[in-house]
Amino acid sequence: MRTMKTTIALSAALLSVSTLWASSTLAQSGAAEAGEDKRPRIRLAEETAKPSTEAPSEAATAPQGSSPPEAAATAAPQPASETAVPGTPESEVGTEPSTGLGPAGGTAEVEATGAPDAEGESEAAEDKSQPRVIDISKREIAEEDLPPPAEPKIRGSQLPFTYHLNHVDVSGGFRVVGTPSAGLEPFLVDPVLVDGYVRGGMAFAVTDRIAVAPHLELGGASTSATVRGMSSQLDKTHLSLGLEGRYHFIHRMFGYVRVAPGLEFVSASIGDDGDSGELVNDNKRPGSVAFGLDAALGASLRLFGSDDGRKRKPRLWVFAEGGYRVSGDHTLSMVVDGGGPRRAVPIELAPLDFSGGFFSTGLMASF
Amino acid sequence: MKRNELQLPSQAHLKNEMRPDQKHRASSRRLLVMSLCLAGVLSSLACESRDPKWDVRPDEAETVGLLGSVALMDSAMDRVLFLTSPQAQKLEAKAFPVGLDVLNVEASKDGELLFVLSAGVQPRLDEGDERPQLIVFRGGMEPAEEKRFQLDDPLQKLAIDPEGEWVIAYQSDATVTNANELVFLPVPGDSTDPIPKTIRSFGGAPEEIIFTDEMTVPSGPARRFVIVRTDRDVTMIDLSDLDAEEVTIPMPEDDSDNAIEPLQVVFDEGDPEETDDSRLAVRLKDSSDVVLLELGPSFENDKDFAVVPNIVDVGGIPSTIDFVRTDGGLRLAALVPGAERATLIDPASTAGETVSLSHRFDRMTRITSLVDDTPDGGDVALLWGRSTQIAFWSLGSTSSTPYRSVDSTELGVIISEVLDVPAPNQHLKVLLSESGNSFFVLDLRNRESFPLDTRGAGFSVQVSRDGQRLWVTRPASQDFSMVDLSNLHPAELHIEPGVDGLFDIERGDGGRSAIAFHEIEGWSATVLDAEAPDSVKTAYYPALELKGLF
Repeated sequence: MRTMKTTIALSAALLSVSTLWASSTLAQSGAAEAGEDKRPRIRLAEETAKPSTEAPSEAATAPQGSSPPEAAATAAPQPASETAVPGTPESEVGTEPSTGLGPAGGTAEVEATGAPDAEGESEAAEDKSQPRVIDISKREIAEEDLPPPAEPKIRGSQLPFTYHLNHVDVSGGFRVVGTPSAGLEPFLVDPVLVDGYVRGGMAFAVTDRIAVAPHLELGGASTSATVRGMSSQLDKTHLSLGLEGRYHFIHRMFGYVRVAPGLEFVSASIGDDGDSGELVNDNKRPGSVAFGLDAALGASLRLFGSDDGRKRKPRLWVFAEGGYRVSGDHTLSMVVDGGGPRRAVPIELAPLDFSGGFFSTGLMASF
Repeated sequence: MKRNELQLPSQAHLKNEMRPDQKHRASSRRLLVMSLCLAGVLSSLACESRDPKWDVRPDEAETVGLLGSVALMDSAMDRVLFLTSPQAQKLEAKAFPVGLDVLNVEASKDGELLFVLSAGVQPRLDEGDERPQLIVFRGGMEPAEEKRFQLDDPLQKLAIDPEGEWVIAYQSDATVTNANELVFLPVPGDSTDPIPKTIRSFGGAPEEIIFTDEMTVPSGPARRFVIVRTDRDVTMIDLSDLDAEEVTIPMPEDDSDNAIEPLQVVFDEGDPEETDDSRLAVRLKDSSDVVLLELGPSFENDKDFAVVPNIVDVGGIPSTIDFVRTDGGLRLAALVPGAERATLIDPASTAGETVSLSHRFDRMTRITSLVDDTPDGGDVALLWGRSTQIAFWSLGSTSSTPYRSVDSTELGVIISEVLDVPAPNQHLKVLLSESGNSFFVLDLRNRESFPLDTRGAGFSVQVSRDGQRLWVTRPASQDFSMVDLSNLHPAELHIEPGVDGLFDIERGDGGRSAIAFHEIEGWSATVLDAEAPDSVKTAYYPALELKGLF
């Protein structure tokens, strides 16, 4: 009983720690994105937009102080034109504001890159050595005359979720099940069963933000108690094939609904191997098999790993779920083991089941 | 995707509403809070432990053999388990609740009834606290609760009427007790009202309660009495009228003016045709005197009888007394082992007659109806005691035995106890030796004794209620025997684990089952066919203490 309570306490503690960590991570993430990362980026974007509004005036004043090639040469290295096409004259930037097109579109955001790439530099150098004069008054510029747009660096969180959803995952955790079945009382001091499990599956994107993940779960639980002074033990193994529907709130977190039908196998023993014999499962029926169904609602939060769904690298998630288990009745027939008295008559225990609400938490690795 | 399809974050930021990612974060936090709440609910569920019954260790077992069942007291759980056998090698258990704090469990002589006396909650502080009570169970093949008496005080002792009419509870364990209060409880009928009665006392307390057969009295119908023996007097209570005043007879005093302690009370109706010859006799401690009490006519109009005491000397300190019939009439026989003789007292005249015995005999029992060669007008008694001899004492003349002859037989061991055998083998007696190494089956018809030896000491012998067999067991031993009384053939039996009690009960299908009870690592039982026991035809029923809990 004390062990069970300790386990529950540890579970709650782990959950609390996980939750606090998750909250702090979310807060930091939010702070980072909103205060340190996002806002400057927005500011940069504004700065990027600013030249686009000021450029025409500069371009208009350029002929007053210097020739257009000079203006282009002085404008090219300026960081304010990070979104500008490298080597593109500032006046061109001003008339054609670059917006940094991401391949995924949506809410993708342009990130400041600071400097043009090497190819751009060489072209710029070539442009310097052989300046091209473009007649901007015609406003007709051939597409081939423009240098290719720079590939902007995209944050993973700005990618569509569809990149993110497809992966293989393996998870392990424990489940705390409130089991009010009276048949379990000889084996459970408190009506709570803690079972551990491993789960493996694959996630497939259905639409943006939504994925389905079939999985296979193998788990087990063991509990011991005393029955009127005799030791008692019950072991349960379950195997289930489930389907999970996932919805990604953000790249770092998704919620899910899971339904997992399966089979439960139960064996038990009562007493010790003494003169009167230990009561074990009837040899003819070495255990009890019954149907079981888990229905759960949960959420997963990524602890480590990239936001970029295109990278097939390991990611570590923590998840928590709650739900209800429906379990068929197990009827255990107990007999004295081989070392005990002969011709023992089986004892039929009361039907037991593992139905009840549960809470579960664990870690998941996805690839 | 084209450039102009890109939506800058600043556009969303400029709007005065929560961005989608912020909304998602808020949703995530709510989800986590909900998860915490769920964990809290489950944690609170974990605090509700299982039924405490699973944590109750069984006390030392108390078993009582009944006619068609075995009562197994599970006092730790305030219940009694009745083990019955519906078929060969089958065992069923049925649990009944009993009162809290069981003080006494006894069966009626015929094994039909089981009486469970309990104290309840002491002290009672709340209205709902259980009172002391006596529960009567029927102990046949279909056990059932017969009735339940609520008592005022937690009484500890029971006296059970062999006729099944009354049970008397007495001697309380309360702060203040009335040792001379008897609570009469009527067994038959629907009445559950206890009838308390305090007997007159001269400072003594009840030590034994005896129910008499029906006895005639000078006035009124024949009736039964309860004889209460204390350490200084004897009290007669008329069972036909509990409101009537009881009769208390003080015992004679010794040289120190202290009442001599009565040790044994016997009774006899006398001639059934006569109404004034019913008598009692009282043997006294360390005294050669015997008190004779005759139920004669009363000079008081409101009394049906009067007790006329008389004291007779039997010539030595008697070890036992009994009323016997001789060809000279009713006599009080007293064995005086110190003098190796018996004294016959005529209760009417108090005249005595001595009979020399060849050996020292301490005990006797009448076997008149059990022998074929019954003397005319006289009883036959079996004598045994602190000698290696037994004797048949004929108290009448027969064609083959002389008047009041004593025919002794050497057994080689001292007999400590004689067991009666029920019909149809009532002509047999089982003589148990003091050492426990052997016992004898005595055929009263042929006056033959058959020695049966046991492997070592410590064996106990019990006679089946159907009178067909003996069960010879030794506590915790795996080896035991059944002796068929029809041919005295012992059947060697072996079961595991060791046997801590064996009961021969009626079976549902008309046969009989032997239930061997084991008290090792819990309670269990092995069931055999009592009429044809075989070690390879057994059924073992483990964990009896769990019966009725699932």
